[in-house]
Amino acid sequence: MNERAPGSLRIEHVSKVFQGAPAVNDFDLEIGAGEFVSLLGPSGCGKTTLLRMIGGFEFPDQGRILLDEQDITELVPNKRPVNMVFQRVTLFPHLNVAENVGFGLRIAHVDKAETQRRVTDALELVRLPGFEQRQVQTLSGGQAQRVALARAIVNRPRVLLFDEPLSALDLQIRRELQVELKDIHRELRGTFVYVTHDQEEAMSMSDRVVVMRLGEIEQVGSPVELYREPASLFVASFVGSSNVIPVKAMRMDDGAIAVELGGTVVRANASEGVQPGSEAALVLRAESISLEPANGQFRTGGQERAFLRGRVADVRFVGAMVHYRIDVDGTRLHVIESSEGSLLQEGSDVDVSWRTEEALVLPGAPAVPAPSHDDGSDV
Amino acid sequence: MSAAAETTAGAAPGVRATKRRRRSVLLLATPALLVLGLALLVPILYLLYQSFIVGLGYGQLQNSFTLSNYTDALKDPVNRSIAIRTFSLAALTATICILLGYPASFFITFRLRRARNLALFLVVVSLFTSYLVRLYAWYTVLGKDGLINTALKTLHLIDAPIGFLLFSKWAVLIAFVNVFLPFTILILASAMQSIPSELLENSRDLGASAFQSFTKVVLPLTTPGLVAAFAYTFVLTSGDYITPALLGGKQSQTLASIVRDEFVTFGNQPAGAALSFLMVLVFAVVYIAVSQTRRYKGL
Amino acid sequence: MSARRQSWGLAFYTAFVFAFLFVPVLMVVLFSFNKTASFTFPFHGWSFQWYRSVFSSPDYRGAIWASLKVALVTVLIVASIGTLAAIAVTRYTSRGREVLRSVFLVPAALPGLFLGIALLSLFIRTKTDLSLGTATVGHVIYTLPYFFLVASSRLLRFDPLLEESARDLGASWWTTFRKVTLPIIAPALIAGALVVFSLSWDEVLITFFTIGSQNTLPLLIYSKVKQASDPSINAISTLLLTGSLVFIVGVRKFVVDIQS
Repeated sequence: MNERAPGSLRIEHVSKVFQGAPAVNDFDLEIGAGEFVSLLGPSGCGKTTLLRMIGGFEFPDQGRILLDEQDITELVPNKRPVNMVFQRVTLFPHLNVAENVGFGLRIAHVDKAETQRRVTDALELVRLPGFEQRQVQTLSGGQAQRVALARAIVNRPRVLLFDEPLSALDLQIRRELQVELKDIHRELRGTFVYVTHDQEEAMSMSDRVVVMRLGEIEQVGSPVELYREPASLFVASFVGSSNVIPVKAMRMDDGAIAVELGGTVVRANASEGVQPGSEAALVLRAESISLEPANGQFRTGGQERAFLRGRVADVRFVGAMVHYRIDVDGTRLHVIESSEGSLLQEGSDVDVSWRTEEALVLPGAPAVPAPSHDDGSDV
Repeated sequence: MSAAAETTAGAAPGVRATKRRRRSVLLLATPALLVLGLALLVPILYLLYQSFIVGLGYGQLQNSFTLSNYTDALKDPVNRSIAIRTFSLAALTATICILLGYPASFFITFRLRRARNLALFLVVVSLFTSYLVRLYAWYTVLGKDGLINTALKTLHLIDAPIGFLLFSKWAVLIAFVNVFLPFTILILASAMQSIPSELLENSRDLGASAFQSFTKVVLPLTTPGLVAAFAYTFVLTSGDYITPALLGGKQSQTLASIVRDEFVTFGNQPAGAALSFLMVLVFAVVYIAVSQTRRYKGL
Repeated sequence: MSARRQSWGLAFYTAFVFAFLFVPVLMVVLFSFNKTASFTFPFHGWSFQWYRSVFSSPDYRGAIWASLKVALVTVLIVASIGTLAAIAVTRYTSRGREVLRSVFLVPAALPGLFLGIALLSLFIRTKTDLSLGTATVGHVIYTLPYFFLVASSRLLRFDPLLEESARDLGASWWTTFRKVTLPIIAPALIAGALVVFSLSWDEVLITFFTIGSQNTLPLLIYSKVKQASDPSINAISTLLLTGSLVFIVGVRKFVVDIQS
């Protein structure tokens, strides 16, 4: 099960146009053998189109795709050592589980004994031992996608493609399968390319995440990089729960920048391209903001910490965490805190603070209030 | 940067592959197209040609162009009265089918739940019940010793059997309705089923009475089906020569019977051809009218 | 009128409609078992004599056999070319698709009379002898749209991802069709074939023009009804009926798959 050819992918200047509109635009990416890479982005960003081009279901108008340095751009899907798990359940309804899983092997004329062995192994890997004789119609959504995964794995493809395979499943099942997929990846050590619009899904499973927008790459990096150092407003608002606040950049001193937020001046880390005097955006993670009940004394910020006075507009208790909405100087901040201790009351005054280290200023003004994620799920 | 290379031949390899596949799929349709071409198009074209040449009766044809087949057919007063009779009978049949079928379809679609599939299945069964047998069956109902007469005699409502039920235009009408009613019910039921039930619930929710819901929601949405059922019934009824022959009695000639006679009895193919094309012209007008209403309703 | 009373009214009405549809035919079935020679009322008692006379009559046996042959050949031809045509139309992703689709549905819009005389005149011109074969041609043209409708409606609901999965797993186009598409749409194709059989078995309008000296069952019945009152008509009609109905029951089994 673990003898696997490398499985490195190189996507070079790939473009595809659908009915006059570019779906994928001059896309360049290198994926190392054994990597788990996610393509993350809102619908219409081209991630599925790109995936399908790797799988052979679409063909690029320009550019090449190389698998282990071999040009597979024009190969039809059945000739590519690549397998896909689709978004819908695509198990063949007229075959049982074992026949589904062994389908590719039978096509390749693998002998019966070997097929049976590999099917059993694959089903064990996806935690469905003994399901061989089950009818496809009797499977739950999660079980069906596991069988689909087994069906793909059993052929020992060099690259495994995933087209939002969990999006139709219930939240609990999704979370379970996300963990299992990561385990399976570790066991197989194969190259996984995973498409999703759920940023938490991408972040929790991948070695690297490719954030896409309108057919182009916004940023590529490890989950930590994307979270801590978003290169653009789009990435900042798409990944994690962030507050993106329009501010005016004022002056720079020694690497940090002062911006005007409402009526207060606040220090933050500046990212490239921020000019004093220009419109900018302050990015604050919802988890990095602290709240204290106000006790009459105005506290002012300094080098290390910023302080603002605000009022609690909304409180939402979701179990381990509490989500607050705080009105500060005309801006509404989303704050996530642990639910231990007493909860703040709606309408009460609070001191809002964060470490200036945690704040980032990006160039450009946000066009609309950033879509913030309340529970880490997709927009 | 990203040029739309779709139209440039040889540029994008994938586009070429897709276009190749598209063309080869079309090849699959060839056998059916061939059959339709040879067994439908060619005969119809030949029939059209025949309608413009001279027929000398008993199968003899003279290869000279003439419009007389058409003009004779149109000028003949007998033809005209039979045409009126045929088409009005067809229109009457279609109308009655719709009037009778609509409430039944309504009931089946909106008032039945578990029994609905069974009811529709029964309608389908009656649809496939042999056409000929259903025609012949009216002998046992309308005949001198048939169901109706026997019932009336047993109830002492009449002394002598009513002879005019069978072999009359009423018998033909009843038989036509019996044959085309199932089809009408199915078309209407299908149109009604495709109305999302939320629409009706919404309309009641917004205060419309049952009757208003019906006229403002159900009726407009089922009009295309209604019109289609009408057209189909009209066309097929006009072309039916067997029912009048079996049930119509002496005065029962329809245009279809005339066409049949010209072809089979008199061997005057051109005359029969011309008349049948005139009928097809009427059908075409009906079908076009149908498609216009569909477009008007925005469907 | 309250909703309940309205429903009861409609219910009775619908029952009456169903009675109208079925009673005449049920009469025929009833009288096929009549003891005496009267083929309408009064009903004298149960007897199989008319069935016996049907089965011992070479005319009837010949007609049944002829109908069977024509229907089976029609099914074979229509099922093969119809399936291919349905695949072509549902997979052909271009604007010509609607045109192609209408082409295959056209024969259903024309009355049998018209199809019949068109074919007859062509046969006369080409000096083709009329026979069961020429009758079959008419049946093929007549039933093709119905099969096409059934097949293409099933294919339209067929998830294209299923075929993509098969390709992804290594199957060529032909293997995909054979091992995935065909087995899955088979019930619909069978239902279509049964519809074709039923339509062909019962066809008389076109057959009247395109057949030679032989008789199919409906034609035989037609001529017998016109000529004289032969009580065995009830019996043979019931048999004709049974033939069509057997196929409807078969279709029902596969309709579960179609859910039109």
